[in-house]
Amino acid sequence: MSLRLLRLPLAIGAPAPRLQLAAPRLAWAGRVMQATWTPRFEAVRAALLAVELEQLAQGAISASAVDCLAGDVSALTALLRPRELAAIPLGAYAAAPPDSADPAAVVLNYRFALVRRERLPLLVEALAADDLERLLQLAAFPACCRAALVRALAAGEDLPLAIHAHGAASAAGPASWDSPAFSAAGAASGSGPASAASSALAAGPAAAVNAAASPIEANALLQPLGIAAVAHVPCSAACTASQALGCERLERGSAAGHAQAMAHLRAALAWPASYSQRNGIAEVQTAALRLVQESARREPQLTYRWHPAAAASIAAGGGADAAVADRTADTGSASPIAAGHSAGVAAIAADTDLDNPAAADYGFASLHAWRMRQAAVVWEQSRRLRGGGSFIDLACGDGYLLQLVEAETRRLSVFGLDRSEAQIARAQRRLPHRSLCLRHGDIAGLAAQAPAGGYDFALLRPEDLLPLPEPERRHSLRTVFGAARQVLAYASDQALRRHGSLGGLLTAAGLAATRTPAAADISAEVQPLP
Amino acid sequence: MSVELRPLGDRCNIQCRYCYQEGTRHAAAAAPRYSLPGMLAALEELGEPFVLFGGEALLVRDEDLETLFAYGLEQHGINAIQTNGALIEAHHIDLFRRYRVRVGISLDGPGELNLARWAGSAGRTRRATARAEAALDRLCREGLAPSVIVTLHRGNAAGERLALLAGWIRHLHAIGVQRVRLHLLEVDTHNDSQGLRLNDAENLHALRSLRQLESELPGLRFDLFREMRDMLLARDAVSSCVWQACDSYATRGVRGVEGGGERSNCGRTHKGGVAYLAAPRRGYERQLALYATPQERGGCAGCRFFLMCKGNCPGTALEGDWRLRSEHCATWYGLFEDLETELAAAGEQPLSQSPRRAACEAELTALWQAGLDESLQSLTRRLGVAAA
Repeated sequence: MSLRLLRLPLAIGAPAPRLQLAAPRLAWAGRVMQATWTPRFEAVRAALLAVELEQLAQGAISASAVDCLAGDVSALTALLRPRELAAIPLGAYAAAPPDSADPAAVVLNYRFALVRRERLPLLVEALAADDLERLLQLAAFPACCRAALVRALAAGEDLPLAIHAHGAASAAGPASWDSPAFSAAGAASGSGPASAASSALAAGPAAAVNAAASPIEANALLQPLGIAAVAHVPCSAACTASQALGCERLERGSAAGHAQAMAHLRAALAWPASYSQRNGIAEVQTAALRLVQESARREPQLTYRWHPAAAASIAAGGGADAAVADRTADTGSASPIAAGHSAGVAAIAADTDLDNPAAADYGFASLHAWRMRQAAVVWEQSRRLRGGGSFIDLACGDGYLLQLVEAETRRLSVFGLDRSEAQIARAQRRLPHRSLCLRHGDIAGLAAQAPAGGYDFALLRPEDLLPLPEPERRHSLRTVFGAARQVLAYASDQALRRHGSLGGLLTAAGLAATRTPAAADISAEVQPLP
Repeated sequence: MSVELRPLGDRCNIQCRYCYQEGTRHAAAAAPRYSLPGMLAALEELGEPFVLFGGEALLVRDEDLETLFAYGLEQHGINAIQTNGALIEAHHIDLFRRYRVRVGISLDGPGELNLARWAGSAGRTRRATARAEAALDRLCREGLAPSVIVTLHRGNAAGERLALLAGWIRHLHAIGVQRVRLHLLEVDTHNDSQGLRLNDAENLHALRSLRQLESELPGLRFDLFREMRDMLLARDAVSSCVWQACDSYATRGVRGVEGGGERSNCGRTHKGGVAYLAAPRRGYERQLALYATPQERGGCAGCRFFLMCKGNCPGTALEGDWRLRSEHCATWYGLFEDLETELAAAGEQPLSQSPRRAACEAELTALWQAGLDESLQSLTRRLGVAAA
């Protein structure tokens, strides 16, 4: 059975200029929240309906109202009959079921006023006279809430989402929005803690943070879902009459055997929540769910936050930001380009390392091509390199590849050799902690520079050997293989174009791969051809 | 529409300073659920091709990755993955080939240009960037050229860096990359993106420069420009989500499946650090509000490009409030103007200049009021508007 309790026994379409009755769209904050709270909400709604019907039956209130699907009318009748309650149809409206994804799946909803039979004439008379004040009185609205709602509806407020939030928000002070109705309501209730509100409002003209240490029962932001201790529309979160009625209702519920449901209700009402209205859209957000509904009002922009835990901080001058500090926690990063910091911006503006003009000297059409090839070599050989040891790049250029090798593992000591003095200078700037291991020279001088025991890895560009006369090339290879336990080789774009493949290049240089490389490989461990 | 499968939720191996998932990542109170059967059941229910997404999708263990790819190949004949590329290894590339996986790599440029995609230290960031570049290069050499997503920001597209970025894209083109997706950096309160954002003039300059570059590189396509041009011609059948009437409560362009099989929304709309589930029913409150709200109050009233743009992505909305139009409005407007002028010069009538534009707007907003939507292509054809 789907019954939505909303204690507003008003005919659809009147007297409010726009009576928004469709249930708001809802989104849960995660599957766990949904799985946990959906059945709890159902239990709470059932308990609150039972309490409402008992209050009607006992005469504590004279009238209430429910929205009911066409298929549930007989079930509603079954609930009313034993309590001697009557239902008066107030109208019908079509709306998509809240849990339906199909926009065409519209169902008919009826709205009924509920009333004790002997008070039926009073309700009929008030409805016929379109006497809103009287209707709200029959629905047991406290005087302050009655007056506030009458003024709000006259001012064109929507129901139910916006009106509830406005009612709740009025505790933050009359200056938080420009609705004459609710400005007056807040003042009339006399319950808004002005000093706390003024510090909350320092956040800005359109923001208000509830600074009142009100009991949880007054949080009306979830009332559109039928989840509220207060059945009527409270004029403010700090309305003492509403709080008393809310507490009384919770106690009634517990006494009537719904203690568990009332405990769930208390927990939900204690959730931090925010209401905002902007450009004709009203939204309530909590940590468990959010609701959205169109609103006829486009002005003013209004933000209201309910955050019981922060109330004390705000009252002590903490300001509105304190109320939401938990939602904007500092991520505590150490990125050099962290936004908003002048040092970070300066770091961004500094020269990049992408200014080396020597790519063509190393067989590449651009620096990007050179860099990407060096990265690809390290990527292909990384598993081998992660074992650690010593590594020398025999044509190290500006040291970029060595920097990447060093980043693979701290267990690697890197060395560099290059025939270009300018590139070695660049490499020393890149790797200042390795400046003594970066030498200007060629392979002929390798043996003299090798550490005791030699290198674990040497990285060779076979194309650098091709211009050498045969005896010198053989000598160079002997030097390299004599100085390193494993020799790795890779090719530039220019060499690959010239020799067709890495294998072709290796053969031309008097080398062979120790294992047949994959077609896409651009590096391999090599050995000299016999 | 696309289905994003997020096996490990927001979990990632790097921490991009502008990542829109930072809020939910930090707010997470518990590890996300992980259930391979749950994911497969959700995918079966949706019955559409999916893209493995994150966080970082390659943090998923290899056996499960293969199971998911095998399912995707069997059901849809194709797979897709979006990754930062830093974790791609040789065996992944083998999986990509065997299971027909289209790979998208998010990379903002070479070396320092990618520094905003922070990996915890300068060294680790450099390594992650280099590994991503290496993987990209390898994929191209294997004949599996990936698409690349580049987010434009102060670190890669301001001043002289724009020329470096353009040079890098030229190189990507040279090695076989054919598609580059450009994103404008989205400023969020829950991350460190503020100082990274290019201003509107810089964004527009960068996009115009890259559009010029596109014309010089045959075969390379920036999706953005083609899509905007198509939107002006009411050809929106395959446009990306940002041009559709996205509802932050039930994001249309992106539907997510989390690691436990639960459905989720596009993470770009999670501004408060809460990953709300998708609402069962789509709504058009945002588009209706934008259409009626003056531009000085964050709306789109009177904009001749509204039908094409619709306020753009709610995840990039001004002040992080999905009810407002995109913070990149001025940039999109400038680009739409460029394209509009060029179309007119070529003798085509963009929808923005159609005398029936108002009728199209009235029809579409009426549909939205009724909870319905229609593509521009269908709408203009139905109304007999010439732009289509």
